[in-house]
Amino acid sequence: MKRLFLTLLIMVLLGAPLSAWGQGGDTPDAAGQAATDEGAAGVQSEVYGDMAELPPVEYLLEPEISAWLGARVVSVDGANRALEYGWPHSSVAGGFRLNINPLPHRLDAELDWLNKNDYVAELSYAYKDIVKFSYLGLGLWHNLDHFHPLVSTPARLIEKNPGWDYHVEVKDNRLALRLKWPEEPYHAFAEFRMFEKDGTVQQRFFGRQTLVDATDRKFSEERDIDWITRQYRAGINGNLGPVELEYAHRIKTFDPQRTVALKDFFNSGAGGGTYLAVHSVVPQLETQEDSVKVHTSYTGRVVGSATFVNGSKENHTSGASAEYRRGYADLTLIPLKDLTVAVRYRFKQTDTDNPSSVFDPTFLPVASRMRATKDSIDSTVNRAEVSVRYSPINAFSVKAEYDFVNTYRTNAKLWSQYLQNSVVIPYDQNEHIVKLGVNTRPFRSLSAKGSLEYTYTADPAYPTKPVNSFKGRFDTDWTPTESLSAGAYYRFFRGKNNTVHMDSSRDNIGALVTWSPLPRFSVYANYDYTRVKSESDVDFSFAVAPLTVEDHVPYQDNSHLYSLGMGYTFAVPLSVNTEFHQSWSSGRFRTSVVGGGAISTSYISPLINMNIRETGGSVKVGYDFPKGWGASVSYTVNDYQDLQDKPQDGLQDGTAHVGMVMVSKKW
Amino acid sequence: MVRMGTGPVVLALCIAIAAALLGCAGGPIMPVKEYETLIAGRLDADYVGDQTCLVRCHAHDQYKKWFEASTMGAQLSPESGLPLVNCESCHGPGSLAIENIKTVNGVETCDFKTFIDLKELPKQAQSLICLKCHSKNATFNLHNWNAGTHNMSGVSCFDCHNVHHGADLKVHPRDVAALCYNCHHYIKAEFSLPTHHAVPEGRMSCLDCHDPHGSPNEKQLKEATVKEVCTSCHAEKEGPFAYEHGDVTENCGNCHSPHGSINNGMLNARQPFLCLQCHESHRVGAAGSATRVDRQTRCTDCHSEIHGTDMPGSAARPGTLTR
Repeated sequence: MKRLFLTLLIMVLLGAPLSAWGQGGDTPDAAGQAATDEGAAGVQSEVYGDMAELPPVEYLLEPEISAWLGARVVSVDGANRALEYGWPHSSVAGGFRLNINPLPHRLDAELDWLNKNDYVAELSYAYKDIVKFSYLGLGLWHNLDHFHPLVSTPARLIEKNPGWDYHVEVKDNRLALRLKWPEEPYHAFAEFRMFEKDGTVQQRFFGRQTLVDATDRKFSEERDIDWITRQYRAGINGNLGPVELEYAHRIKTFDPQRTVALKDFFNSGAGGGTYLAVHSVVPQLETQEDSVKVHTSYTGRVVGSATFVNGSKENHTSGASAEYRRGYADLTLIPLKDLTVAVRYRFKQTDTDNPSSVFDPTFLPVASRMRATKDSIDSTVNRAEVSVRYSPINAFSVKAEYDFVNTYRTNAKLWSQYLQNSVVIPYDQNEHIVKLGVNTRPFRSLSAKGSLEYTYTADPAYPTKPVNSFKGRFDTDWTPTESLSAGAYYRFFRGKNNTVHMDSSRDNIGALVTWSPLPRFSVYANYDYTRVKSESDVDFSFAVAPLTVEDHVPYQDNSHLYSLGMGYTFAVPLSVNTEFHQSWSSGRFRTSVVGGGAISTSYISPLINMNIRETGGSVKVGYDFPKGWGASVSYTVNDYQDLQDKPQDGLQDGTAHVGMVMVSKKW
Repeated sequence: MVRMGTGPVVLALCIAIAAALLGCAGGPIMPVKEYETLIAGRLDADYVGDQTCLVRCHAHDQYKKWFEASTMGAQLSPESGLPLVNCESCHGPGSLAIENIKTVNGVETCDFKTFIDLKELPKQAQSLICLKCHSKNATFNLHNWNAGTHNMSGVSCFDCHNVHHGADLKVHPRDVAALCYNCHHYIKAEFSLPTHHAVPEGRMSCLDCHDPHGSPNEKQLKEATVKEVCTSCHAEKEGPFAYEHGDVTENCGNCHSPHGSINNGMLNARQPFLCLQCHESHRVGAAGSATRVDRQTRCTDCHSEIHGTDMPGSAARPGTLTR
């Protein structure tokens, strides 16, 4: 009766035509069934005799239905940063899971609802392999920081919304539909995504307070946003024998809807003085793209694939546009069982087209309202890669790779004037990258892998790009017994650019252990340490020439993360899970005294130093009652502490408490 | 300097066609003979059908329940309308196994050693078990698999997909991060840093940015460039703008660490140091002067349109990204 009811429900939802199609659907593959019967016939089992006389398998595919309902209690003391991703209010919560398979239909639906701003919803439906539909809906609430600009005197800051809590609500909806030609490998597909950002964000600006104000001031004000990004993609693909081919067209639009721009007084810097300026304009954007993909069979000694993309982007507000072309080709060879060779080629070309000027509607003097623009950088990137993997035995493999990247930038020299030490962006930038990697499993319980990468960049375009760099990693996993597993890792990066005295390094080391000493009891512990160090020339200049350059200014960030957890299921269906974690993050950079006059940077110490501690934990108790009922209680706390306690850094202390009580039922 | 127009496109097409013809020469599956031998199973065994696996031996145990709950389980039934797949499609013919069923300690056990030892297969042979079927139905999510990082690093389909378990063969989005962390341990630590994308909170997954089956971009990013990945959500920063920030914004990684960072906005370094690595500071004011305090500070307090803008700045320097 249950199956009949569910089938009728599906028929109502989908309509008669599909149901009729389903009822008249294919009968079991008689030849295939006969083959299996023939295979079983005559096979004698010591225990069961003639296997062909066994009854047929009953494919049950029982429906799976469960639901849960409860309450979520939220309390935040201090800044909402302690609950960065979460609506900071209490609510009713609940959800369900439904999986039913009245073949040839298959339906799966799931909802996890914490509140109207925090949820995940999924729906998928399939009819044989002919129709496949899926939907994913996601709600996310993001609490944002409120920055306090640094100023020499309070009068220099116009804070229009003191103490405001900024946030963004995100709604992400994705639909996908795939149709297949019955009994033939041809598909048509369509995808749609709508990504909506709604909320109140902080807008900072540098302007003047009134029309007669002659002093530049920093502004902080609220801005309502309601931005929608829509993406449509549709295409067809098919298996044509030797190759498979796909064509797709994609359109992406961004619509700022309301509050496209703000207006505040601004210093024209010309003879016009102060004027009411339009600023922080959010444009309407559109991208259109065609792509063709072709590939051979995925199996075999030779496998090839290629992709061709042709597209354009347009800014409907300013008229700026760009056209791009991309081509990718892969070829994989397995000349010997133990040897795999892959050759890859990548081509990306972007041609920008800016209007020669833009109209500044309120600029003064009026005669100068057509304001000149500058050509954006066009670029062409060619990348060729060759990698070889040799695996003589299952427990060992080595991989080597060489990449060459050429980036060509037109108009590069137009853009060099504001760079440090008058660094000139070159037209051509060539990179040579060599990688080596090893994977080994000397014992069944022990695995290790490591890799090393060296990059040489001739004439890097930007001071942050090293000329020579090394990057490496090492990972190991050890499982000596079924109840114990451990792992450790180390990563490093070293880069140098002697032209600007740039010396950059990153080290990251960590370990993790999971232990289950008893069948229903497990504990785990993790630790991670990261250190980022950099030195670079920095220009802190005086009004009077010459330019003052300070060499090897140091910068460093550190973080320590550790977490502990435990899970225990008692003899009765009672389970307890707890978890605790803490992270310490600190950083600083400082300049030093320069001859000819001390450069004090104490006024920006809130920005150049940081010290954050984040502590959190959770406990969850669950109990399974008879007949599929269950209940759970959980409590989560997260404490965020800005130990520097300077509001200018945008960080504030806060503690978030979240409690949940749930009742669930499984059918 | 290397610039190419249609040349590479034609070259790529030729490569694909050549590979297709080579692949065609030996039949639909160009024999990688050694691997094919491994996945064919015992040549002296016969196929015996589902009954022998699921009615007697696995009738009441967890494997049957899990299998029925999976998409593959639906494919056991001709009523599903899907291409039929059964246990022997992957494990090999089972007649030898059931001929030698014995009762050991009250448990009926087949001679499972006559099946294909899937766990001991080379990684590429493991993948071939899946690809031999998922090669012929236009599965374009595998378009870049063979030359991709995972395949070339010895990761097989088995490492992420569990055929016997779950309502769908795919990994559920909320389980993706935990699966990826099994190999990419340090990424979990990056997501624990003070500013991070909402992956630990379950509102994003690794698949929002990466394609584990391979992609044309580095780090197996889904889109063609780093910027296109990021602006699939942060579209307001995509441009093109009348006043750009050079081409620095073509790769958001020049300034941001997308998994997580110690700094606000997931920046690689704090302002003003981040900006001063490339730019001169303001040449204004003597040491300690008010103007210096107001200008040599967090750059984006004034240069708020740092990702690009359509409005000019001051008259002398319209491209300062201050409006």
